[in-house]
Amino acid sequence: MRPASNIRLALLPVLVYSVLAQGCLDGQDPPIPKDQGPTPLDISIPANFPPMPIPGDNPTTVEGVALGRMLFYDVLLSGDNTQSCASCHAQAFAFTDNGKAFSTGIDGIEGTISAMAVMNLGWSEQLFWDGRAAGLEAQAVQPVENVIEMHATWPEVMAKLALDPAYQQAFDKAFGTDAITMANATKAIAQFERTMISANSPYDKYLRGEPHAMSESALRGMDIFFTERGDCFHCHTADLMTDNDYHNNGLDQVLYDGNLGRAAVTTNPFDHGKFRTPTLRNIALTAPYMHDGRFADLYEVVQHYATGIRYTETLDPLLTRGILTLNAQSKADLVAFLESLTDSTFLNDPAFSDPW
Amino acid sequence: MKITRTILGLAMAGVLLFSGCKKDPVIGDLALDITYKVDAEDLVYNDIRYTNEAGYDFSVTKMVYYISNIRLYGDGIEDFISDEIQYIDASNATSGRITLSEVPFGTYSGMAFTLGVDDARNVTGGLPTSVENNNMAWPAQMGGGYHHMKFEGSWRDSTGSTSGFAMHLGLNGNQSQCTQNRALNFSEDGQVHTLTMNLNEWFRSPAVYDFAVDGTSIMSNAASMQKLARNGDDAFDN
Repeated sequence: MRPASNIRLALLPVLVYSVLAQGCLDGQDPPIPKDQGPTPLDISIPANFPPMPIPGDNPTTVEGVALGRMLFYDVLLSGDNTQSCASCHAQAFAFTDNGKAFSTGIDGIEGTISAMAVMNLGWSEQLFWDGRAAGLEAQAVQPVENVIEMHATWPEVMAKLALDPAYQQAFDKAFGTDAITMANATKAIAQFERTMISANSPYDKYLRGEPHAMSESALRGMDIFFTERGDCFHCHTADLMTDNDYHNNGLDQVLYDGNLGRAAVTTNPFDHGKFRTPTLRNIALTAPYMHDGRFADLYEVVQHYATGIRYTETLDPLLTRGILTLNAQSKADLVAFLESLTDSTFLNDPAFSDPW
Repeated sequence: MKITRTILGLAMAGVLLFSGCKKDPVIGDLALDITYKVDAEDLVYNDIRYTNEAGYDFSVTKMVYYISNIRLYGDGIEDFISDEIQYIDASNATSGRITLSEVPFGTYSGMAFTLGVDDARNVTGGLPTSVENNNMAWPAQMGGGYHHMKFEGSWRDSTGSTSGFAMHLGLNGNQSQCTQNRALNFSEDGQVHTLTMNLNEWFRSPAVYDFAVDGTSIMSNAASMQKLARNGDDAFDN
């Protein structure tokens, strides 16, 4: 994350140019000639993933991704220059908030819903637990403006960025002249996020023909996961491990305003209590679980699906069949399978790390 | 001057010949639009307002399926066979239109198609990787391939208790083989032909499907899947 010293430098454009251009942006390509546009970037899509839809007005480029990475990790996006996107979406925790159920914004106010993991989002047409943002570009707008999160305004943020020669150059390279705008900032963040693909877990290696990539327990768990014994696969569809749809998974006995979920967007009462299916990739690192972080670990999650489903009228039909007959070993196997979705390559990929 | 007249003459002849050879088009695009009913009522989601043949009130929350092996047939006309397969979400009108290309004009006496994925493509990886196809995958652990159909909703049992049903069909032999023995006079490019699925037919004939007896989650139940699939043979209007 951009350190405080760099924030001060950002207010001193003459000094900051040499420091950032030489010291902080290592790994970036050298400046490209003015008459040359940004360099198209073909995102490498894993064979077991669908083609990724790319918005026609935001093609992925090397320079756009680099800018998005800078912005993702920059505290200048918050009202008091103390928090970046990465503050609540930490790579070591699969881009969730450091084991917390709820995140605390710059004013010390705690949020009411858990920070979602940032990975494989290029396939999600709608973002947030309730799907209120149509696409990554639209999603990136909101946390900056949210009064209990980064509590800034985009005009303020853009004014700060415009003072920084490194951003002047980065926006110029990514989008052309006069490009320091909110629209381009959010496009760049979206481009960066589209490159954040996790597909090198032991499960993936097993699929690619490495029979010993998964433990015996994880293999038994995989069979439970992908059959009606566990019936996890209908919502956590292979291989993105999410169907990107909304479900009421039986958390509460009554539907109340605190769990409106998708209904907050659609106003349809039959969407009450339905939340977007989170991916299970790297799930072992994203505790606590559910939109409100009510389950401390994966055993509690498995226990919920085995015996804890609560009926309400919007409960997903797939979850109304009663108690799952899973003994202790089966539950442990299921957890072992979920742990086999941890992708250490992704979690340690320098391309997704703090560039500052 | 002589050369000019010759060229002019040839050009005029060409125009005449070209006009003389011009024929009416013999093929065109035929669009199939699918609409949904539950007996006499239009399909409305999320409302326990329908009653099935076994006497249970039920709602519909999901109806997604594939259509493949579309064949138009008739006396004195060659069969038209499409190798297209289409994923259809009944809640999404645009996915419910199937466009058949280069269909010969003529009068067909009927249409047949498979509701589900044809055997050849019903293997894991048999369809292109897409979000929809991935969501329809039938796990390799359960035989592989794809769900032919997912029909989900809620139902109220004889005690008044409400719970869900998930009528999922998969594996070869559990596709429905649908026919529409209604004359189709195809004569215009872009012509639209409508099919209507009656969702209550899935529970009606040739054998009444009873949630309490046949089950509400049937991916591992070969007999119930087969019963449902055969009921689906006449799920579309005839």
